Amino acid sequence: MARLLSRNIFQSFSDFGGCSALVRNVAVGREARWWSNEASPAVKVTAPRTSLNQPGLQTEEQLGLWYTLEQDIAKQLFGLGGIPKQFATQCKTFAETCLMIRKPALTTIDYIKKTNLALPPNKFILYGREGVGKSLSLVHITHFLSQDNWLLVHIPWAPRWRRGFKEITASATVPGRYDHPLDAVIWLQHFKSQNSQLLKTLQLETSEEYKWSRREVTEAGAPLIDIVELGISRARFASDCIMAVTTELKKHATHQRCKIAVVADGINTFFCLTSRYRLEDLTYLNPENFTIFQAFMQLFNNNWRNGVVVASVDSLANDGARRESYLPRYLLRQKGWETLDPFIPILVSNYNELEMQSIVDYYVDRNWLQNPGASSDTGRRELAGLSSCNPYTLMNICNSL
Amino acid sequence: MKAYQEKAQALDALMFEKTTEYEIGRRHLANMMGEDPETFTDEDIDTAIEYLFPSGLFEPRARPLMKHPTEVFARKKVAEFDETGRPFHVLFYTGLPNYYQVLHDLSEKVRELDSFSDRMMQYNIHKDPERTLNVGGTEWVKKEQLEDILLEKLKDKQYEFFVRSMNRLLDHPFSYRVEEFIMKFRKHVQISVIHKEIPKLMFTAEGTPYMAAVGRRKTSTASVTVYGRGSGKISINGEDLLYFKYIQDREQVLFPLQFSGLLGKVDVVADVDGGGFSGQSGAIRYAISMAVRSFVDEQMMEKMRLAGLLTRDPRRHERKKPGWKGARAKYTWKKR
Repeated sequence: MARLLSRNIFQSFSDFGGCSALVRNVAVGREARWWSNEASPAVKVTAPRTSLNQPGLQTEEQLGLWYTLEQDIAKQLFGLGGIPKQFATQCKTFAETCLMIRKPALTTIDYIKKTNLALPPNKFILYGREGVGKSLSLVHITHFLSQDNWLLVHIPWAPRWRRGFKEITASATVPGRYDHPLDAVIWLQHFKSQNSQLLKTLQLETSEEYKWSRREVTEAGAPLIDIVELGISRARFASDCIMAVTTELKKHATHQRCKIAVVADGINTFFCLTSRYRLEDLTYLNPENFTIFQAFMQLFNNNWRNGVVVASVDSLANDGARRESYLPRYLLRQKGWETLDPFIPILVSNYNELEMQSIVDYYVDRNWLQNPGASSDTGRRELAGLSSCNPYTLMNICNSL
Repeated sequence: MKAYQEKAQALDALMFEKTTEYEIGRRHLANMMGEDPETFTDEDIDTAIEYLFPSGLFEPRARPLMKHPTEVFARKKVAEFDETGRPFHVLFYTGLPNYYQVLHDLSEKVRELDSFSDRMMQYNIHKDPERTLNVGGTEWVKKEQLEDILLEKLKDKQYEFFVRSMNRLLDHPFSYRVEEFIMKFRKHVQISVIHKEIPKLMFTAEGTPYMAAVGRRKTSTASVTVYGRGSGKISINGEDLLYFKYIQDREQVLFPLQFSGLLGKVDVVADVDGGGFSGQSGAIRYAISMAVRSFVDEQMMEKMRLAGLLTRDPRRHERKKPGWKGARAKYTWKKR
C-alpha cells in the first residue's frame, strides 16, 4: 500500500494533461475548505474538531467534525461495554475518545428531543451494511441521553447473551426459563455505573415485595437500587433482579416518575430462533426462554409511556444463515417486525466526501497515517477507492499503513 | 581437372537449356493469358501460374511455381581455373577468394576515402552533414546470407571480422561515396511492432464519454464500461468494490486507474462471471486497462504496456498427472 502512495503527485498531473476535459470541476464552497492544497504540501493537516462536547448542543453545522468524549464519562457510561473493541483499542492508542458527528446520530437526537413523551415510546432503528458506523452512532446517542437525564437501559451487544454467554442455568423461580448468572451480574453493574447519579436523585422505589429465597426478601417501597445491588452480590438471583428492575422501571415511566431510554445494539438477536445452549435432549434452546431476554422484550412493547427505544439491527447479530441482507424486515423476521412495528428506520451509510476528508485529516493529525502522500489528493483517492468509503474497512486498511 | 571442367560445362549447358525452356514457357503463358509476350514480366508469370493452377495448400513453398533457373538452382562456383589448371582469381590459393576479395576491396575503399578526406582538409571543406549515408532501417547481412552472396562457407570469426571491418568503413565521414558497395551487404529490416487500433471514445446521450471492454483471466470473463467525468464510483455485479473481500483483489481492480491517474475521475461498471475471486479481479483489471487506453495519451499507454497492464495473462490451470502429486510436483522419491 505504501508503494501506491509514493508516486509524485506533480508528475501524475503533468502526465495526463490531455485528460483535463474529463476532470470534474472542483465544487466551490463548503467542500473546498476541507481539501488540502496541492500547491503547498508543507501545510500541516489538523483534525477538524469542535469544542461542543455536549451532544445536545451539536447541530448540522458540526457535521464531519470530531468531538471529545471525556475519559471519565466514557468509563462511567461504557466501562462494561458499548464501545466496539477495535475502536476502543484505537482510542487507547490516540489517548483520546473522539467521535465524528454524523447525520444518523444527529437526526435521532433531534427526533428524541422532539418526542412527545405522553405517547407510546418512539422506536428508532439504525440499519446499514456491516462496518458502516451503527454501533458508534449508538455511542453518540447514548452520550446524549445520559447528558439529557434519561435513565439508561443499555444493552451493549445483545448477541453476547445468545451465543457468547458465560453460563446458563435453569431458572429456580420459573420452570422452563433459563438464567444468565454471570452475564446478568455484569449488566447490573453496567446499569448501576451508568445511572447511579440519576437513581439517587430520582429515588425510585419498588412497588411490590420480591421474595428471592426464604431469607432474602425485598419489601415494597424499598429503593430500586437495593435490587440492583442484591443482583450484583447474588449471581443466582441476578437474572430475576433484571426482570424486577425492568418491570419496575416500566411502571415508573408510565407513571411519569422518570424517562427511560432503552438502547440496544443488535436488537434483531432477540428474535432469532436458536441460541448456543444445548438442552438434555440435544436441541438448541430458543432464546425467548432466557429470563433476561424476556425482561428486555417487555420494554419493546407499546404499553408504556415516557420512554424511547434506540436500537440497531446488524446482520452480524443474526445467525450465519440469515445474513444476506442488511434491511430491517429481513433481519428482524416476522416476530421482530410485529413486536417493533411501528418504528422509525434510520439508514447509516458509508462516508460521504466530507466525512472522508475528515477521517483522513483525523488519522493524519493523530500520526496514524504517517506517509506524506496520505494527505495528498492522490493518497486520499486511493484510500477512498480501496475502502470504498466504508468506515470499518478504512480503519483496517489504515491499521496496516 | 578434366572431370572438373566437364562438370562445369555440363552445368553451363543445363542452365542454358533451362533458361530457354523458361523463356518458351513465358511466351506460352503470355499467349494463354492473352497478354503481349514481349512485355510479360516475372510477376505476370507468378500471377498466371496462381490463376491457372489454384492451390489450397497452406505452405506457400509447396504451391506450384515457375521461376527463372537462376532462382531455382543454387548458384555454384564453377570454372575457377582454366584447362591448364591456372586459377582465374588472384586470391584462389587463400581458399576463400571471394571473401578475401571483399576485404581487399574494403581496405582499398578506406584508403580512397582517407585520401579524399585529406584533399578536402587541404581545401578546408568539412564534412557536409546532409550527405551522410543513411543506413536507418537496415542491418548487416547475416552469416548465412553472406555465404550465399560469396558462395563460400565462412567461419564465425571470419564473419565477425567482416562486420567489424564494414563498420569501420561505415563510420568514415565520407562513407556516402561508397554507398553502393556498402548497400550490397546491408539488408532492410521489417518493423515487427504492429500498432493496434485503439478504439475511439463513445458518448452517451448526455454527452458523457465512455468506453467498453472485455477482459478474461483464468476462467473468468468481465465486461466493463468506464465512464468519463465521474467521481470514482465502482460497481461490480451491482455491488460495491467490497464485492471483493480481500484487499489484494481490490488493489488489482484499482491498479489501472491508480497507475493512469484516473482514480476518482472515472466511474466503472463491471459485470463479471466465472472463476473465483482472483480470476475475476484479474479479468476486471485487464478489461479496465483496455478501456482506459481510449482515455489516455500515447505516452501513458506505453507506460501501461511496460507495467504489464495491457498483457492478457495466458496462464491457465494445469492438469494433474497420474502418478504425480500435482501438475509438476512428484511424490517423495525413495532410493530404496
